[in-house]
Formats: sequence, structure tokens, C-alpha cells
Amino acid sequence: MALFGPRLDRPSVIGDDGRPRATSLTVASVLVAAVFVGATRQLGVFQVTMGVGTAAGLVTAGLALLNRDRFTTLFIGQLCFLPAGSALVAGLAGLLVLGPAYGLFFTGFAITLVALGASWANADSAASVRPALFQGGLSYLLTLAWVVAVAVIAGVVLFIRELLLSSSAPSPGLAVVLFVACLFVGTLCFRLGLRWLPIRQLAPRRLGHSIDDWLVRLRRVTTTLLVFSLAVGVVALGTAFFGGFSLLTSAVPGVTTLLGLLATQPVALLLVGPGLFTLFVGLVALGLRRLTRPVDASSNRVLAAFVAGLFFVIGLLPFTLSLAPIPLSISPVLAILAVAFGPIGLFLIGGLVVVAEYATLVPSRAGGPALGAAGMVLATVGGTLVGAPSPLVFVMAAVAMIVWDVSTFGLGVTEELGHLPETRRLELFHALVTVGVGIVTVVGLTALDYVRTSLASGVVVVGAAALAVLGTLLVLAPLKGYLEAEVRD
Amino acid sequence: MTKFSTRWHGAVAAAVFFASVGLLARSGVLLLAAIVPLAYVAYGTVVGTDLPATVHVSRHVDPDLTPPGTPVRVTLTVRNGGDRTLPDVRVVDSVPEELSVMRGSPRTGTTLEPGESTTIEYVLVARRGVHDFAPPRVRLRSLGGASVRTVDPAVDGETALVCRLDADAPPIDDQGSQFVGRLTADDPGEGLTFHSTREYRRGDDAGRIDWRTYAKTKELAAINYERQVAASVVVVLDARPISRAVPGPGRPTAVELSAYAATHATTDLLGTGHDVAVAVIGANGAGPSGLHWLPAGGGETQRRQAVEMFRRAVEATNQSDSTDRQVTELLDLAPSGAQLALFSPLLDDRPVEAIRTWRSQGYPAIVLSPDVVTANTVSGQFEQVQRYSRLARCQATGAQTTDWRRATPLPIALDYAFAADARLPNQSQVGIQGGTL
Repeated sequence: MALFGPRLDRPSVIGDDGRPRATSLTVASVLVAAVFVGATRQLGVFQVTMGVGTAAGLVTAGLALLNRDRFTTLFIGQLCFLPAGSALVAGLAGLLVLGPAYGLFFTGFAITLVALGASWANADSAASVRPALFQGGLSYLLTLAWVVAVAVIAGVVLFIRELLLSSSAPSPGLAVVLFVACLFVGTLCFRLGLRWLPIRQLAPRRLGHSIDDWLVRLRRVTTTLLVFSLAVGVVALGTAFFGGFSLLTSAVPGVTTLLGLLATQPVALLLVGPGLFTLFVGLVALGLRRLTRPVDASSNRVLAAFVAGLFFVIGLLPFTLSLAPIPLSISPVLAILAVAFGPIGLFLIGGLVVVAEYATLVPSRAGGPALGAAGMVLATVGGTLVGAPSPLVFVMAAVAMIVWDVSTFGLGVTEELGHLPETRRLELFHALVTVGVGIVTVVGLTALDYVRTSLASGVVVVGAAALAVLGTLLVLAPLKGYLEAEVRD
Repeated sequence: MTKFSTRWHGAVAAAVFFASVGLLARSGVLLLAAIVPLAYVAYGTVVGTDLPATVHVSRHVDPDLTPPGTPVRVTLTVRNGGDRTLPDVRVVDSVPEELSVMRGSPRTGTTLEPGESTTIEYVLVARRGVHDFAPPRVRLRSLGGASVRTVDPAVDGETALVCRLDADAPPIDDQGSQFVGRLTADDPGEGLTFHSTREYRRGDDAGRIDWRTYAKTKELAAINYERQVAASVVVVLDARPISRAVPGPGRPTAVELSAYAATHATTDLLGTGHDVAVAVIGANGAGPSGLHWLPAGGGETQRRQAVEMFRRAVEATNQSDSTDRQVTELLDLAPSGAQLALFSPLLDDRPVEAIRTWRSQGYPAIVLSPDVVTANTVSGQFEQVQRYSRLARCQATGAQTTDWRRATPLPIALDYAFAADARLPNQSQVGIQGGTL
């Protein structure tokens, strides 16, 4: 059951090994959200809540969607996971550096939100995190590759445009270089477009062999042209460097005008136009083929990362960098560093989660509840350090325990009974008792804290409290052993 | 036996973490916060470790005697007979391994106050055999969820589901003459349907005088009615391995469904005075060409033997290598003028060839085909189209074909299959004159 909107989990996998029951997770989620909003309001940092919450939600959606097979789903997952995850990690890292207490507070809540969200989406295990990390890493590498490719293409295009549009006629040497550059780009585009065009498939069957021969000849010609243009370009550059064109123009009077014609717009359009058109049609054919092909999960994953990388470079990166100078007066260099290294931080943290589960530091099936509770423990410590009121600190600590308790309880119910039976009453009863224990504990501790701060303060009371905690711990161990012995007897 | 859960170890770690950070940061609030996890540890460890096993369980199976393929509703009621609330009761009913749950769930989890009860309902699909229900497993947990106790309580009510081929086929003596399957002869005789008129003979019943003819011609004439005769019917069951397909896990095989239909049809036919012979093809038997063969006969003994033969066919695991010979052999074994009724899911072309063979020799034929093909996949839809094509090909030979869909009650399917009295003579003509075979 989804709370609202489309569900991110797959009902078919919510069986004995699925996520906790919906009622238990709802209780945990509502409590965490309430405490998060309440605490940030109390501390006067409510404006950060929406940012952290949105980023955590997008990371969760990305985690869930990157475990799917369809291209559209994977592409949207890429758009959600990498940017939001990188922004979250970079933002929290910055906050930890600038204000460690607030950093700890928000890091704890962010961990809890992501863990609960991943539990809802049934994507809180290492088996779910690993593919998301792999695909995120792939799209990150492809983004870097796209950055280089787009920079080179844009540079070449701008260079040619500047030369063609300049009012003064280019020198003969430059004109020749420009001509062979246009020839090279046009031929390359034509060659690529030819590769993806379904010429052989659309040709009549009787012409099959002749079409094959024709295509082979065409490939040979284009290859020759590419090599020729490269060679001529190198020779022209060398000639221009050693002053060969000056000798030529002085020896042959009309050659300057003749070579100048090579660098005119119509000639450039004639060279590049057909190639670009062929490339465009070829890409359309390729796209149609991709859309009509049956689902191939592995190629869809690579393609989604490939397209997402291009989208990041063309759509997202300029937008992100345009905002760079704004937040907290961070210099653009720091912003670029965050964009470049945020994903690496995200992969490191994700890798830690995977390793922790494999090393059984995190329970294999209860990874979401464990991380959720651990996040709340961190938030409690952070809240204490930023000076949150003591009742709020106790509430956060209690919510940490409630998150663990109701989530693992719901998980146990799912494990034993599956997802079909109606168990809402059982879960609500358990949640009610657990919340009741929390309320009683918080009220008692608040009273105790009031007594502590009213009657005495300082080292003596802290030491006494520490001794009390240690004493309780020591008492609990033999008590549990006694109970176990009672049962055995 | 009671066990302790260890799920609060993390809380102890949290308490130690709070206390450590509190000491380092000299924060009294954090030190006090360390008590929160400890409170939960104490709650989980101490509260409600004594778990009374005061649950009473009753089960109702409706119906507890049923033919294969029919849905069976199971109702399990768990009541707290003690005077304390049971905070966490989880029940899993022991569904027999051979059966599968079609609707609902045999599991539940709830809390039970003293005297309160909870009920779970689920629906099974019956398969042939006697299926015993083991006691349900009831697991109780303490309030804190730390201690767990599992009990297997005694169950009141039904503990078994009996599924028989002849479960809803009443004894022959109880049958009236209302059943279909009566054959009409060409000769005139006693009956209800007009056949012809003849000259009045002294002693004819006044009720048979054709007064309309008398009014026209002033001559007395008597009416002849179609004569109804008892015929021999050979019930043929297709028990080949390919016909042992199931529409889903835990569902009866097509052979089971065919055997159920054949049992019902045999009972009906015997009840209306027909002689019934039984043949099972596709499984090695002691009869000619490896057939399971029961010669034509009537009465309750014949019915018992037929049902026993169907039961053996359902359980058969061996495969006959000479199905084609068995089909041909039936032509020698079947009484002259007998009607052949084939019960087959038509999952391949062999039954169609068999019908062609029988029809080419002039035998009237009936095909009743239980539908076990699932049409929710592309391959399933393809298989269904092929099956429809086979039914059409059987029909093209002049055989009366009936597609027994899963939602259609068997009596209606049988009624349709055997309500072909008037067509049977034509069948012979089609089979012989059509020249297509």
C-alpha cells in the first residue's frame, strides 16, 4: 500500500522477504516527519527541512527506480538519484564543516528519511543499493565523458562560426584548414548516420547484393575522405607555419581569391549539411529501433546512463553552476568541487552501507529500520549539541527506539504472515504500546531533568547520571540471563 | 516452548553511545537520554514474559465431500479462552500440501481480548483424494514482543477434506428419467414426439386417434410417435501424460476433471437405462492394446467398476506407447451402433484424429473438453486458439463438441453435450456421406 501517488515498490516482491507492513511503517514515518518538522521549527532552521526532505525523497525514488528494467523508469531514476544524492551529500558535508552540530543533526535526519523511504520502496538492502550505485557511477563517468565531448564539439563549432562570420576574409592557409575541417566533420557525420540508417533493410530484396557492394564502396570512399582531409589539414597547417602560402600567393596572383572561396558559408554548408542531415535521420532511425525493441534490461541500463549523462551536461550542469555563487557565499570553485566530488561522496557512503550489510554490521533484512534508528540517534546527539530543549532531545531518542521497534515488528509480521492477511489491529496495538512507553519515559526524564537543572548542575550531576546509566546496564544483563534460565527450567 | 527475541541489542548500543557522547560533551541531557533506550530494553525484556496458551480453535470445511475442481471454503475460528488479553496472536492454518489457496489467506495476526475470537476464511480448489488438515500453528508474543511461544492447539470441527470423482453423482436408484442421453430410433413407437400416421386398428388407444385427419376424411387414423430406445455408450477417457496439465499450482489436472465429468456422465447414462462401456486411452491397462476396458453393461455394479477405473486412470503414472492402436482397437470393442463419448482437454491433435477415425466408421461421437488452458499469457492465448481450432475440427466431422469452461457447472455442460438426440442419426450421415474423413 502506498500512502499516496504511484507506488515505488513492486507488489510482487513484497512477500516473506519484503519490507515491513504498511501500518508499522506509516507510524514510524509520521513520527519521524513530525519530530523533524517540530525540531527544525524549534531550532529556527525550518527552511532547511524542505531541502533535506526533497533531496532524501528523490534519492529514495532513484534507489527504487534504478532497480527496474525499463528505459524510461531507469532514466527517471538516474535523474533522481545522482543529482539529489550528490547535492545531499555535498550539502551535508559542507554543513558538517561549517557547523558540526547542525551537520550532525541534519545528517541524522537525512539518513532516517532515506532509510524509511527505502524501506517503503523495498530498496533498503545491499542487493538494491548495489545496482543503483553501479548505474549512478556509470552515469557519472559518462557525464564526465559528455563534458569533454560537448566542450570539444562546442569549441569546434564556435571556432568555425567565428571564422565564417568574421567580416575580414581569412588568410589562404586558414581557409584551407577551415575547408578540410568542414569536410572532415561532414564526412564523419555522414559516416555515422550511414551506420544507423536501415538502407539494406528498406531496399528491395533483389538489390540486396548490389546495395551491399554500394555500401562497402561508400564506406571506403568516406574513410578515404576522412584520412585525406586529416592529411590535408596537417599539411596545410605545416605549410602555413613555414610560410608556404605566402610564397604561393605571391607566385600565383589569383590563388588568394580562389582559396578564399573555400571558406565561404555556402561551401561550408554544402560540406557539413548533408552529413548533419544523414546523422539526424540515422539517429531518428536508431531511436525508433530502440523504442520498438523488446525490453533488454542490460542495454537499457547503459542507454539510460548514457542519455542521463548528456542531460546532466546540457540541462542540469549549466543550471547548477548558474546558482553556484548564491548559497552561503560559496565561491564557484567550491561549488564546482561539490558538483565534481559530491557523487564520489555519495558512492562512498552507499558503498559503506553495502559493505556494512555484507559484514553483518547492519541486519541483512532490517537494514532500513536499523539505519533509520541510527539516523535518529545521530540527530538526537546533534540536537543536544545545538542546544535543543531537553524534552525535544528525549522525544528524538524515543522516536529512534520507536522507529526500530515498530519497523522490525512490522518486518517480523511480514516474514511470518506474508502480505495478504489483514494485521492492522495487531500493528496499531503494538505501536500504541510502544509510543506509550516512549511518552512515559519522556515525561519521567523531563521531570528528572527539571529536578537536575533546578536543584543542582555541573559535573557532580553529570557524573551521577553516568553512574546511573552504567549501573542500569549492568543490572539488565543478569536480569535477562535470569529470565532465560527461568524459561529453560 | 518460549523463546526470547534479541532485537534490543541495538538499543543497548544506543544507550552506550548516548552515555559516551554525554560524558565527552559533559551533557547531562544526553546522559539522561541514554535512559530512553534502556527503558525500551527493560520493557522488551521484563513485560509479559508469561504467555498462557489459552486459545481454542475450530475449523469448518464447506463442503467436506466434493468432486475435483470445485471451490471449498475453509473457516478457522481462534478464540481466547483465558482471562487475560493476548496482545499478539499469529495463526497459520496447515493447508494440505496438495491443495492450493485460491482466495483469501490461511494466516492472520491480531490481538485477542478475553473471550474474543477472530476468524479467517480462505478458499481451496479441491483435488481428488483425502486431504488431512494438521493443527494450525499459533504463535503468541508478549506485550514487548521479546518472548515468543508457539503452540499447536487441538482443533474442533472438520479435520479432512474428501474429494471423490463421484462426490455429487447420486446413486442410480435415485435417478428419474429426466436425464438427457435418450436415443431415438427411426422406427415408430411409444414416445412424445410425432413420427407418422397409420390406419386405425382395432384396439388402438383412443388417445392416439388423429382427430384432425378424421375431420377431413371421415376415416380413423392413429398417430405413431418416435420410439425411444436404450443405446450403448462408450465413455472414453483421455489419460495421456499431455492431458495431465493443470491451470495453476494446486489445481486438479485435466485428467481429473475429465474423469469427474466421465463419472457424472456414466451415472446419468446408467440411470436412464443405457448400457455403458468404459475405455481409458493413454495409460497401460490389462485390456486389448493396453486399454483399460470395461465392456458395456448396466446397473450399480457397472457404475462402481467404471468409477474405480476412472480413479485408477487418474492415479496412473505409466504411459502407453500405442495410443493410436488403442483408438483403432475401440472400433472392434465398441458394440454395434454405440455412441462414443470422448472426455479430453484437446491439448494436441491426437484426440481430433481419434474422432475422425471413429466418425469415418459411422460411430456417433461426443467430445466434452474441460478447459485447463490459462489465457492470461500470450503463449496461453495461442494454446487456447489451437484448442478452439481442435474443437472446430472435431465438430466438422459431425461430432457434438462441448467446451467445458471453468465457470460452467458440469451438469449444464453434460446436458448440452448429450442433448443431441435428434442430431445423432444425422451425425452418422455426415460422417459417412461427408467424405471428408
